[in-house]
Amino acid sequence: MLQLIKKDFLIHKNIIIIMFATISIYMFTGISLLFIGILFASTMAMHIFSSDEKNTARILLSSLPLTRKEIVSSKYISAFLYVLLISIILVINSLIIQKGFPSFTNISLIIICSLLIISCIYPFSYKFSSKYLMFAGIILCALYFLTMSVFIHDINDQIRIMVGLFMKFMEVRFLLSAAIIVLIFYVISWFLSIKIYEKKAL
Amino acid sequence: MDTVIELSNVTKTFKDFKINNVSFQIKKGFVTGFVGANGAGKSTVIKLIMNLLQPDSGEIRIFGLDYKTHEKEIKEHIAFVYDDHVFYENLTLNNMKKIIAPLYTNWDEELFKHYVIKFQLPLTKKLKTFSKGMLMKSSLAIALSHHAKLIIMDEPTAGLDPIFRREFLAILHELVEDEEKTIFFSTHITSDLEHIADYIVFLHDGKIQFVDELLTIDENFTLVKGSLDLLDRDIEKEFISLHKTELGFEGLAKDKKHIMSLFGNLAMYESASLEDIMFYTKKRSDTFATID
Amino acid sequence: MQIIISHNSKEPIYEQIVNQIKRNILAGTLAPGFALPSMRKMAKDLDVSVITTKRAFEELEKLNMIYSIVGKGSFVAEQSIEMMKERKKKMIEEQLTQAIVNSKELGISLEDVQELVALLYEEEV
Repeated sequence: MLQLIKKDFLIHKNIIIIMFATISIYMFTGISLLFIGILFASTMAMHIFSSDEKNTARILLSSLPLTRKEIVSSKYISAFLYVLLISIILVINSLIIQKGFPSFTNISLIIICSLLIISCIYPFSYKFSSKYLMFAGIILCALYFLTMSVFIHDINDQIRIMVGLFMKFMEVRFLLSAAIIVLIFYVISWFLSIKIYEKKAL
Repeated sequence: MDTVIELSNVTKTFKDFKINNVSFQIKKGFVTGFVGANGAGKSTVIKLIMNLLQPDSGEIRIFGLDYKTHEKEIKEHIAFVYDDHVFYENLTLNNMKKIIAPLYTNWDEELFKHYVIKFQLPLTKKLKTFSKGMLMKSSLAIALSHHAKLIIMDEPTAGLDPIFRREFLAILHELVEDEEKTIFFSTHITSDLEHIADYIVFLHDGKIQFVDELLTIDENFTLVKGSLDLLDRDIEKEFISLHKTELGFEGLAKDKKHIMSLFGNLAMYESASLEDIMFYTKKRSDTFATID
Repeated sequence: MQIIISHNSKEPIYEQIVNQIKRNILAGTLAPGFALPSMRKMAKDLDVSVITTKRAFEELEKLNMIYSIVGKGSFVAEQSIEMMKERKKKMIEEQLTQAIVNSKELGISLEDVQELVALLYEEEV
C-alpha cells in the first residue's frame, strides 16, 4: 500500500512543482488564502483520483497483488497527505511573500473544508465516475444562481457577512470539534468508498 | 494440488450477454488454449478468473484458494498479460517497473533485465511512444520477472509480427519446461495453439462447448466430404453442422470412428483444425437461432 | 539421439516420436539404461506440446521399451526376449528385402526365390 501512495506522488511530481509556482502567483494577487487552499487541495485530490480512473489503470492495479481495500485506502491517505502538503506550501509561501505566518484559523479551515469536500466527492466518483462530478457541479452552480436571482438577490453579500461572522466566533475549541467531526466523516466516506469499489466491475 | 484454476457453475449476466454456467479446470504444468470467436466471452471469463469481475453465482478457485480470503496470495503468483496495454502511458518502462516490482516478493531484477535486453526495449522512453508489439513485450517482461506459477494472457499474440509470435511461443515452451508453471491464454489465432497447447477450452456464446486434450480433439473431430446422395435426415444429425453445395457436402463430425463406420470409403476424411471446429460450431448455433 | 518429426505427416506426431525412439532402441543405438531427455525438454526442442511427448513416453512404457523413475527421468529398458526377437525379425526382414531387390534386378521369379529359400532353410537345419 505504501507503494501506491509513493506512486501518487512520483507520478505527479511535475504537477507539485507547478502547483507551488501557481500558488505563489495567486498569493501575489491577494485572493483569500482560504479560497486558494481549498481550490488547490480539491483539485489535487481529483487529479490523483482521475489518473487511476481510466479502466486500464484500474485493471492494472487490481491485477497486481493488491486488494481493492488497499487501492481505495491508499487514495484516501494520498489525498490527506496532499491536503497537508498544500497547507505547508501555503505556510512557506506566506513566510516568503507576506513575511509572516498565515492565521492558524485559516490553515485549519483549509484542512477541514478540503477533507470535507474530498469526503463528498470520492464516494461519488467511485460510484459514478468523476466526469459526472462536473455535471453535478454545474447543476449545483445553476441551482445557486437560480436561488440567488429568484429568491435572495444579495445572496453573495449575505454569505460574505455570514462567513465574516463565523470567522469572528471561531475559537480553538470550535475548530477542534469541527476537525473531529470532519475526520469521522472522512473515515466514514473512506469505508463507503471501499464498499462501493469492492463491488465494482472492471 | 494439480488443479490451478477451477470454475464451478459460474454465471454472470450483463444487459445483452451472459456467461452461462461455466465450469472447467486447468491442470498444473500444462498449456491451455482458450478459444472462441470474438464476442464469445473469453475476456469476460479471464476477468472473472482475475477477480476483476465477480460472478453472480458459482465459485472460482485459484491454487485451491478463494479470492474472498486470499486475494493477495493468489495474485502474488499470477502473471498477467492483457490485450489492451494497461500501463501508465506517461511513464517510462523503468518507472512503471519501479512501481510494480516492490509489490511482488519474488521480483527478479536480473530476469527483468534479461527480458528487456532480449526484447530490445528502451527503458527510458515514455510508454506512449511504444508500438503495440513493444507494449506487449513490456507486459511480458514484467509478467515473467516475478516467477509466477500461473501465467494468464488475453490475446497475447494479437498485434504481434510473425517473427516475434514464434519467439513468443518459444518462450512459452521454455516456461513449461518447468513443470510447476501453468499457462492459460486466449487467442483467436488458433494456429498459435497447434505446437504448444496441451488442452483446449472452447467457449461459444458464453457457454463451454468442450474442454479436452488437443490430441484427443485432433483424433476425434473430422471433416467429412462427399456427394449429396450420401446424406439423409438421420445421417445429417451425426454432424455438428454441414455445408452443402450443388457439387457435394462438407461437414464436421465429432466422432471420427463412428462416422467412418457409416460412410466407409464413400466419403473423404480430413483432419479438422480448431478453426474448422469454431466455424462449424458457429454455423450450428446460427442455424438453431434461425429455427428458434 | 536424433528425432525428426513432420507436422504435415498423416502419422500423428506422438507416433512419429514413438517409432523413431523404438527404431533407435531396436537398432541398438540407444543402449539399455540410456537416459532419455525429459519429456518437457523434448517438447521444447521438437516444438510440440507437452501432452504429445507425454503420450509418446506412455506408449513406449506400455511397450516396455522404456521405464520411468519419478524425479529422475526415463531410461531405455533392458530388452526382453520378445524384443530381441522383434529386433532380429527386423534384421531378417531387411536382409530378405535386400535379397528380393537383388532377385528382381536379375528377373528371378517369386517361385524360384521361394524354392531357393526353402532349399537353404532345409539345408542349414
